[in-house]
Amino acid sequence: MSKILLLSSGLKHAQEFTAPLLKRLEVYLSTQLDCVDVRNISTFDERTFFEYDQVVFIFMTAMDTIPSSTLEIFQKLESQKKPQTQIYTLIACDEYETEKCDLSERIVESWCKNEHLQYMGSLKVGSILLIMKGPSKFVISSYIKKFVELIVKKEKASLKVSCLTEKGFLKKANRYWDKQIKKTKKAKNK
Amino acid sequence: MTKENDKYTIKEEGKRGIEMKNLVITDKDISTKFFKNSVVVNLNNIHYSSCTGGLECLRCEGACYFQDDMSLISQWMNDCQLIIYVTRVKYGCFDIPFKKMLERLVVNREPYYTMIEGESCHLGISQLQKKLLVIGYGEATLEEKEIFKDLLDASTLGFSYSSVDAYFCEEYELEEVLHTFGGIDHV
Repeated sequence: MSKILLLSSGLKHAQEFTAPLLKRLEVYLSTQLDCVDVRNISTFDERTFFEYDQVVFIFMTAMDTIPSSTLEIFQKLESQKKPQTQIYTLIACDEYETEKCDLSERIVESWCKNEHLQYMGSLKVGSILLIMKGPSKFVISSYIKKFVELIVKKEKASLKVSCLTEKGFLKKANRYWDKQIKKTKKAKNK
Repeated sequence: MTKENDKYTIKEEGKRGIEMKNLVITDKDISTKFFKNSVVVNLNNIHYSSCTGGLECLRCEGACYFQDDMSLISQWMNDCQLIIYVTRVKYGCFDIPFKKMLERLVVNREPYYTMIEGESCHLGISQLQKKLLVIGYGEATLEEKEIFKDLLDASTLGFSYSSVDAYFCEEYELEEVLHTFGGIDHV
């Protein structure tokens, strides 16, 4: 039976955006496996990394690429002895195109190559600020289920999901920021 | 800007409001004699907090929660015409101190999305034409260099860069490479 670590490695407050995805991933994995650990950048202990058969890094991109908090974890793990752990990633970006996550994935792949770890693929999620707010959350749930099945079967993953249309994304996303800015202004004026 | 009193000079220059022309940002101690017409910011000598990634600054029209040296540097980034990065390249990405600095530059982006070249992106607040030169040092494979170049292209989308150039060298060659580039900030 595999022992799996779900590691939320994004920037401190960016973890809030990926938290619903992490929760679903944890729930779906727990129904199939007995040992699923969830850690984040402050609770992760690099000395325990070798205990896991599979590790899933979950993060939102920062300035178009992998966040520094994930790079810090990579640095900590450089000095550790590691078995042939399988690495998966769940990468989210705020833009519509899931291709914006590609660079981060290539960096993780490059790290895995250097550290002789087995990179097993990813689930890329676009429009992360909106995707869990509308009906698209049901679509994403099915993608997470598919991702979980691949992890459990120890198969390669290459999944991507975003808002339904680009036009819809632009409209909703810009309205989202309008609302956020107005809300902040209102709170400041109080 | 001297290595001994970076913090002092950053504040002083900010107060005087000097016209920014060129900016060199480095994560390694380098001789300032190579860049006589630039302000050289050594990341080892300034104080800046890590971005928390909550995008709070985008909600507050670019006002970052942290008040540190990055407040001024992010402003300089908008105002200068030539930016030179001297950074270690690791796994095809900027090394941690440099990446942390770049993450703080989210304040220089608009919150709204725009389509450019068929891609959604955030526009930069400053649309001043500028040039970016990146000198990446360290042991990087060909593949990592490719990733790094693609990363530069991606990060400049939405900003008005007339040119983005990247040069790579080993760490021991850096002094020599900087010597070759010496005076480039005069052009």
